[in-house]
Amino acid sequence: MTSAPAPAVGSPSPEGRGGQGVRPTGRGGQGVWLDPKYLIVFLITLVLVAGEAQYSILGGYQRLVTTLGVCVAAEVFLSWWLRGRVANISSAYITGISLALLTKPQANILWPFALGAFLAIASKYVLVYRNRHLWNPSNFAIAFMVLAAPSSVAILSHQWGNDLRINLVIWAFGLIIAARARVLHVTLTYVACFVLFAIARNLIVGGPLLAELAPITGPMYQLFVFFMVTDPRTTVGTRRGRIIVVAIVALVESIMRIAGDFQLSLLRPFYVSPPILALAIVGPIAMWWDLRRKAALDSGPTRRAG
Amino acid sequence: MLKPSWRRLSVVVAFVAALASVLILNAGAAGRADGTVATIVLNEDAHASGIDFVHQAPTLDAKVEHVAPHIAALGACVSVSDFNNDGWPDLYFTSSRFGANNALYLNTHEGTFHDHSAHAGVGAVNRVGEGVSMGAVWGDYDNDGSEDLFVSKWGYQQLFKNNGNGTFTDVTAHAGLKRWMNSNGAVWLDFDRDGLLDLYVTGYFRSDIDFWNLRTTRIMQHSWEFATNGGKNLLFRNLGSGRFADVTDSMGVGSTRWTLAAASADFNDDGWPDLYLANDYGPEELYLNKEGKRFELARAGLEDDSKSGMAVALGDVYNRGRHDVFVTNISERGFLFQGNNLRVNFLKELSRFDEVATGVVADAGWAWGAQFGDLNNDGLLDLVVANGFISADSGRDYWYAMSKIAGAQGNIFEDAKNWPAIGTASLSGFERSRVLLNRGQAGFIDVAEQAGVTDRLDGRAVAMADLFNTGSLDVIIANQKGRALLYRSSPPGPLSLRERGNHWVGLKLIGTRSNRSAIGAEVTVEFGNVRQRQVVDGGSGFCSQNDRRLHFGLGRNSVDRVTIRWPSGREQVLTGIGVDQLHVITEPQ
Repeated sequence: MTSAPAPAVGSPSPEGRGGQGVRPTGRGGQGVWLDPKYLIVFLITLVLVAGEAQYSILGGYQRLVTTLGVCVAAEVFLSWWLRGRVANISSAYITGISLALLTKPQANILWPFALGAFLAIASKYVLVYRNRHLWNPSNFAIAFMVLAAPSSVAILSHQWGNDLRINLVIWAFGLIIAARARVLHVTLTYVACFVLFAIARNLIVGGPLLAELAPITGPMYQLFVFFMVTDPRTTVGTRRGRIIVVAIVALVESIMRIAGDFQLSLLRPFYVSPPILALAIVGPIAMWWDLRRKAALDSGPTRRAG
Repeated sequence: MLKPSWRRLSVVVAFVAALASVLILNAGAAGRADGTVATIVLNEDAHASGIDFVHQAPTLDAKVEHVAPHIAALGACVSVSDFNNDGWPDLYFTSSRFGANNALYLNTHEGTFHDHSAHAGVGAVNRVGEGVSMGAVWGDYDNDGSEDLFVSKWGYQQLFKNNGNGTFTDVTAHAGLKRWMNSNGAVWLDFDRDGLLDLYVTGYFRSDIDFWNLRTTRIMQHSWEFATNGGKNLLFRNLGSGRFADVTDSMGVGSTRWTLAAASADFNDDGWPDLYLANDYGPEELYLNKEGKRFELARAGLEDDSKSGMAVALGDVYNRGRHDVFVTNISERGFLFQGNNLRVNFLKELSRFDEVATGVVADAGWAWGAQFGDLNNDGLLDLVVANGFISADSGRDYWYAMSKIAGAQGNIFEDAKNWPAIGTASLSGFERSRVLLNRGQAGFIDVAEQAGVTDRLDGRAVAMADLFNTGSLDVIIANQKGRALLYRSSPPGPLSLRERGNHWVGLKLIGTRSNRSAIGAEVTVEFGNVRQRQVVDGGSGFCSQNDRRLHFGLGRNSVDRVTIRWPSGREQVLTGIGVDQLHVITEPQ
């Protein structure tokens, strides 16, 4: 779910991050495959292959072909059409796989995959502020479709059965790659906050604590914590800022979950997929605020110099 | 080339168009039959017909009290049989609470029924220490000319021999069938074609679980998609002396995939009855019969498509002379779209089924029982689907609470104590049944409201029969913790089906070399350049059984030819069959 046209995960963005970004890897003697961007490509491919081989998580290869095809085609065309150069398709690949895995529509309909893929990629070129897109592409597409098309689209609810091994393999690779991409603090903050808020929810609503902790053991959360919430193109510039933002995402998610527990019908559209929708709300606001703040900082000395 | 601003505008327009397309396509996700002329009319007539049966759910061990409404949401079943051989179908309903009686409704020939269960001895079967009823199927296992009754239970299964005088005798122990299982269904079939009905009993929860004396709360599925820790299905071979032998392992049909329903027919046209299983928390299974010597699990496109199979309905949907399969599943707006499966049979050509369900066929809600039947005698098999899981407090919904554990690691939700308490919440409650009108290549449309099917009870079993010998199929629905419904087929408007020009033919088969019930007989009726195939039902849908008399709607056509392949293997061809009447056909010796 890393955005494109982005540099390698963790590498300095064109807009600059004031030294907060991660130095490029995969250059200067290191192989390209050690570049975090490609490690993330590897990880999501691992999730896809493991999930499909063991649990048929896709629900049909036509879904993958459609989503991946539209994502890549849209990325290639839109980057050329609007920017005059063809973007690296690795992030379109990640977005395509994420959407294929996360989108679970009514039987035998493909339009959510095609339209979701187009919306995800196009959002990067349309929903922009100061030349930066605000939403993680797949997060935007999924959030829009579950809110706007609840009669047709639901979100991944598969789990890894009772097989701890696959869970552990994904988590192990995910944590290593997140560390290499220097986004481990985002992942760990989210997980820690999720656990803390789960305990808090349990104290509020009662019932088994494991029921509150259970969601994070599923593949939907693995996709979320390793690919979506960590997307460097749609997170704020500072490490501390990212930690605060992801904690707020977990908090908003928790509020949605409590709304679910207390059956607040007005919020029902949101508690079908709390983490995705929490990020869709918090992420763009944080990005907008961060970009606006940076612009103010950048323009301050200029004005004074002028 | 366009200016950059125009290029950007073009992308914005495309983006907005895509957003709008999502809204538009979603609005048309599941259509109904607005503007369609009603050709199916069903009037709910249970009370006036003397049927006042109300199902009662089981009470369970206090250890699972917090999820009892979920676990105990099964057991309302109905099966059809002319148990007294008077030519009028009778009905058997199951209840599931200790002390609550099952009911055997005797058809009075005057449009009404009365409960005959007390006299018959098949009512008071839900007893402490013995278990509670979860389904029933009829079959003449001893070939004495009277239909016998097998009751699936959570507890000890029961077989009742029909004495031929309106009474029954419990012969379970003598038959070797006194097994403790947590079964939700069974199907009669003659898998070895020896002329004796064999019995396949499905296991849902494990057989070591006694729901009234639980030793553990680790009783739930260990996966929502590929669970294999359910009860073991058992195949009993009829030895011919009133006794049965467990041949499950030697025949290779001991699935532990939480089977909720089974149906038997010759799916691959090799002359031997196969078994099709609808499994909860897992893929469907097709066991192909290898000449009565063993069954083999087929790779027929089913193994990767894991859902929550609830019922198996068989029907020749496109009049191709094949048994297509409809399996019900779960759909809940926003949360889950498993979708029902309509699997078109291409086993002979491609060794697989093609899943073609879309729209109203795929999305019926939390679907349970279903049956095919030509409700308007137009020559195409329509489909009735019962829906709704738990209707309790309409202001509280368990879906969110269940979604917390539904995506979790299996070890967590295998233990019932980790499940959130359901309390008084509903779970896909108050859903309406579907009546899907078959329009051939134009697909199915939902005509339930137009047809008069508007109840919102928690439907479980569906059965069809021409209860009043009028030449049209009636629909019986057993509802969980609710009253049983009888939807009596009525003429649409001022004209009866016959007056509208639609014909029908009924066939009652009596086996001689085959089992006397003729269960498993494959009948193909050719009319109007098409051919429709049906099989004499040994149990299908969800814990239900249709009348074993076969009913073919013919549209405005006459019958060209009837081909019967008896369970013994003998093929019989009939021509000159008159329409709008029931034909009783005895297997040639």
